[in-house]
Amino acid sequence: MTPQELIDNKSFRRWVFNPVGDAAEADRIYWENLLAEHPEYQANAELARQFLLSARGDLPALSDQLVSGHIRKLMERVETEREPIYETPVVPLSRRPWRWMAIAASVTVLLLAGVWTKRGWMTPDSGYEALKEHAPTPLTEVANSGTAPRLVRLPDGSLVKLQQGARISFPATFDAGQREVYLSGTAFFEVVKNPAQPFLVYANQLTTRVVGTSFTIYAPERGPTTRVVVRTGKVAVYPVQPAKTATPPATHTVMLTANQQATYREGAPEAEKANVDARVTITPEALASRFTFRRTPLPAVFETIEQVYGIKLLYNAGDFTHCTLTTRLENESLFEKLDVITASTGATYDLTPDGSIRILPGQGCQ
Amino acid sequence: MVTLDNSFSDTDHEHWDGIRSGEKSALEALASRYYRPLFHYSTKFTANHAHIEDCLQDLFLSIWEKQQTLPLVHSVKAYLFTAIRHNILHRTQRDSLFRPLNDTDEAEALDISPERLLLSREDDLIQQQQLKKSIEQLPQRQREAIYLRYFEELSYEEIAQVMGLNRQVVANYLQHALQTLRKHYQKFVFTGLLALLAWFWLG
Repeated sequence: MTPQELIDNKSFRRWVFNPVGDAAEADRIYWENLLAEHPEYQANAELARQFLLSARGDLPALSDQLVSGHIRKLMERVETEREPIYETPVVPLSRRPWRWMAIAASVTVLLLAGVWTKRGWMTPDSGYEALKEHAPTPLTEVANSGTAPRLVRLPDGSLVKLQQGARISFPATFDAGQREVYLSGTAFFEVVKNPAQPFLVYANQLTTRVVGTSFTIYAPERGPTTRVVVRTGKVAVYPVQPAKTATPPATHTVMLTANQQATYREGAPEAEKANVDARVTITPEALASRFTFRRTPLPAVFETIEQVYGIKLLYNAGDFTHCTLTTRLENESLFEKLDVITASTGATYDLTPDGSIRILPGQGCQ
Repeated sequence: MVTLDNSFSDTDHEHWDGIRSGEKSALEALASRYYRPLFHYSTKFTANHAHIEDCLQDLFLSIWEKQQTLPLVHSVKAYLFTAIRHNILHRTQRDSLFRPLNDTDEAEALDISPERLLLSREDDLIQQQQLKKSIEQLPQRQREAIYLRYFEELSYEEIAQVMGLNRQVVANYLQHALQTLRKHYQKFVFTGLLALLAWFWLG
């Protein structure tokens, strides 16, 4: 038997790849006997074996426990996400082991809406003002008339970073069933996860529905196109419905996953899906590695936050020179991150009236 | 030569139909059957296990979401391998691990004096190491093809589907890999003969 005849033999392959185990018993007996009777095949069998093992290459050992753990997690997700999926299910923090947090996909979405002013004013019943009028509860509006980004903390603790000229309206307390906000202009959102209370952003004629995630919306007041860009995770996008509901319509809903985007044109039945330019994508791994700190001086930690969130933190670097931080932050929102960072060093932070974050030193960390 | 294991693929189709009619147990059975093979295959493209796990969860969840709209497929296994390959490659910009290895260790191991060549056990070992090295140095797509063919038992058609190639290209890849084996085999027979002659000569 030549080496090639041996590798083409399925039983021989099974024997090579599964040398132990009950299932391989018959193969093992057959080949061991054959080679004992025909020692002249021994060398060829070794060559064939080497060929097959090289073809397989090195594979990591995956314990049964690990595999069944992953399958269990999958089935839990199927259980909780039997309805259309928008988000990774979230277990309350107290019950959530750290590892699960590390694995849970953080979701980042970018929504962009382009404007063509030559299209003229939008029809009055489809814009920001009109949508706001239909809100069931009185709304508070925050606008950014300055040039620096303005941070807003929503009633549920979610973060909104308004860019120049953007406006957001939201109720003093959200409805029990859903969190609805209205946006005009560009804003970054970081939504506190709560599967029981979906978060809906109405921007121009597009509804973006998430359970807990972060995303940016560019929704200028007038314009026929709106674009939604998803960084990681899942998000539902659909045109604003005549009767607003937290449940997306069965048709015309576009589901976006990592690095996909949807462009919606005024009047179209649904958004058009496409992939995001690979050059502008951010992987969760890259983000996680930025938020892994090992005896990192606090000013460097603040710089990371400033860079990632594109905001300016107000603090006096001299107050924190002796403070270092060792921790790993992943799916926390900005406010949660700041809670961890300041609590571990005795510092505090607050949101100034003009929407900046100010860090105040504690007793110091000598 | 290639016999598709019918019982295996029949069971696959049962699970597939089960998922199409909304049976969670069918999804669980299919995932349990293919989790490890798909994970292993993915490690050929990325060393990031957390990443692989995410892609696998996404893959099975998206299969579950599709349910009735899930396409009827000829080979469930090929469908799964195609999908995971696409997801992994799409989500990772890393180089594939199918690339040739840096072979410093192997090169040292092969540096054995001529006297020792006469010892037939050593000789076998050297042949095997050289073969291993040659295979590791095959172009990555050829290595992927032989992995799918010999380790995953996929047919030429299935490999073509998974790798997005036409069948003839797959056949050429596998043919080329086998030539590597034959070359070593011929060398092996030749050096074996030399060793035998040397044995008689010296003895």
